[in-house]
Amino acid sequence: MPTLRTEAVSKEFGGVQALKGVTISLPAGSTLGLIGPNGSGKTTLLNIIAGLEKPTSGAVMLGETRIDHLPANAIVKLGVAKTHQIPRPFAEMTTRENVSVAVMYGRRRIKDTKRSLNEADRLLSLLGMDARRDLPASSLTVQEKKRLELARALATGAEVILLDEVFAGLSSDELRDSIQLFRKIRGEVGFSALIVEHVMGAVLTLAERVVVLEEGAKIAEGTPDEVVHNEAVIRAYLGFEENDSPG
Amino acid sequence: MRIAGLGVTFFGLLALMLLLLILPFAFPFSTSVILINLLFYTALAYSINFITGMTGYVSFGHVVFLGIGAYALGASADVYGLDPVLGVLLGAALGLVFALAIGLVTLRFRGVYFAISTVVIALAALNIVLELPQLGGSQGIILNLGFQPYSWYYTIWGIVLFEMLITYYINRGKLGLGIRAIKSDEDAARSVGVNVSALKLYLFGLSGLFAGAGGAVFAWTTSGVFPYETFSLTFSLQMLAMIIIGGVGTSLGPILGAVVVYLPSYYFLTVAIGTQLIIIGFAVVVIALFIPEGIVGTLKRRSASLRELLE
Ligand SMILES: Nc1ncnc2c1ncn2[C@@H]1O[C@H](COP(=O)(O)OP(=O)(O)OP(=O)(O)O)[C@@H](O)[C@H]1O
Ligand SMILES: [Mg+2]
Repeated sequence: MPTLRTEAVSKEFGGVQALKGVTISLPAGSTLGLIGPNGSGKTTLLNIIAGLEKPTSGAVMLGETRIDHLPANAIVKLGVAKTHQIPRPFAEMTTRENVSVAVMYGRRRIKDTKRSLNEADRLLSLLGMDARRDLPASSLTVQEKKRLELARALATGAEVILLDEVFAGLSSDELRDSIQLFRKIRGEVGFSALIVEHVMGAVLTLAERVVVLEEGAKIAEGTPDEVVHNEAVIRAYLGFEENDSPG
Repeated sequence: MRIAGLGVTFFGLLALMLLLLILPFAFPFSTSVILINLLFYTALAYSINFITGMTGYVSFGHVVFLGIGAYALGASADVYGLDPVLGVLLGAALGLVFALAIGLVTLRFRGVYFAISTVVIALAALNIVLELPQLGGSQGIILNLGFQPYSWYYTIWGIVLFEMLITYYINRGKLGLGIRAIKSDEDAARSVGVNVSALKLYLFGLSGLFAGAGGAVFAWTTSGVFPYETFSLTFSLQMLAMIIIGGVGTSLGPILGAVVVYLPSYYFLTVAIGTQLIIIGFAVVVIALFIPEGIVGTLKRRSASLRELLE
């Protein structure tokens, strides 16, 4: 299981500097949190790692391999998978078919339809979604669709999973359940995780280290405890608190 | 009910093809001519089904591959006296090559931009052909291949058989699942590892190959290639109508659509082509409004038992 690194990654969208030389490192098997106010560039960084966007400058390394010039599907085959902040299920397909696509086309490349459906069923039951198996994905609730995103990412056989706000929009009870579920899955399937949230709750509980972005730049990095006491972070979040609560 | 993983649709189509294999011997000749045309339209329907039916990329100018196939046979038979069966193979090969080359560029466009690019290419192809004296310019190529109904029939029969088998093979396995994911959300498909660009190009290539083969048979049966007829957008419309009516992407839909579109137009042959198109257009609008999944898709949705049987 290789280390994932971004090296001074910058991204410009027609004049908007979404990322300014961001360097992060996700050692094998670890959990890194990535937080920051709305529009600070978190999703953009995940998209660049996953190959859905190309960086304007900088590099993304998986072990010794440079991956930022590769198409997204090739990066999945190297073992890096991402969930979408706004879920993007294959709406007309059933839940298990959705997962099955990822089983067949992911890193494991399981060719046999039956085996892939069995594997999809196993993952769906791990995520407590058995009852939704044969329903079209379009009929799932938003939270179920987020779980489906996670199921598909796991199904690819990824060693590095990039989670874009999968814990957002949950009540505190649901959040507790989800965190527990995440730990359970983590126990059964080993992977490194890069967890993006713009509220701090889940990240501070799960992550060993946390990186904070503000307006595209990394303003702090450290253990959850260090980060919540960091001056720059408090300032960034206080500015942010005027229109939204950081949870 | 499956035998070796193959369902009722597979055996149904196989039985139909076996029946069609012997039918020319059992019926008077005029029937065979209807069947040749029916199989020709079926071949076109399966051809466009690979790209438009399976991925949702509307190849509005699909007739360009039919034209390439027709000219491949026409020119090779006219200039080199090549056997028409080899001309059909040449048409298929050129259909494939052109589809790969065109697809490499146009499959990057999405939605209506792709559709428009295919129309532009079809119109450009017609105008290029009109300027080429080697291809007979606006006169086209008149061939003297004679009346060979059995050769026509079994060639087009073979093309349709291949198309059905490949369609069925794609739909029942890994490829079909990946392709459905592409049709649903191309970027999401990529992010679970589906090699979207390669799969689309593969389907477009197949689609061009079979349209090229069909076009070559068209030139062979009409014993000539006439640019305005060969590149007529009417063909493109008919192809689209057939898969929309039959059920896009399915293994059974294209032949159903071909029967529904072709047979009435045969019996109303006396009705002007313009009127036929109006009727087809009307039928497509009605289908799109009331049963957007076409005949096969709608039957599957309405009945749980048919869902298992129809593919
Ligand atoms: N495709 C794009 N084109 C133009 N600008 C973009 C694009 N994607 C992101 N941006 C801009 O880049 C900046 C960073 O956006 P990004 O989505 O990465 O933020 P985020 O941290 O994920 O925010 P949120 O918490 O709201 O999800 C924003 O200013 C956004 O408007
Ligand atoms: Mg975001």
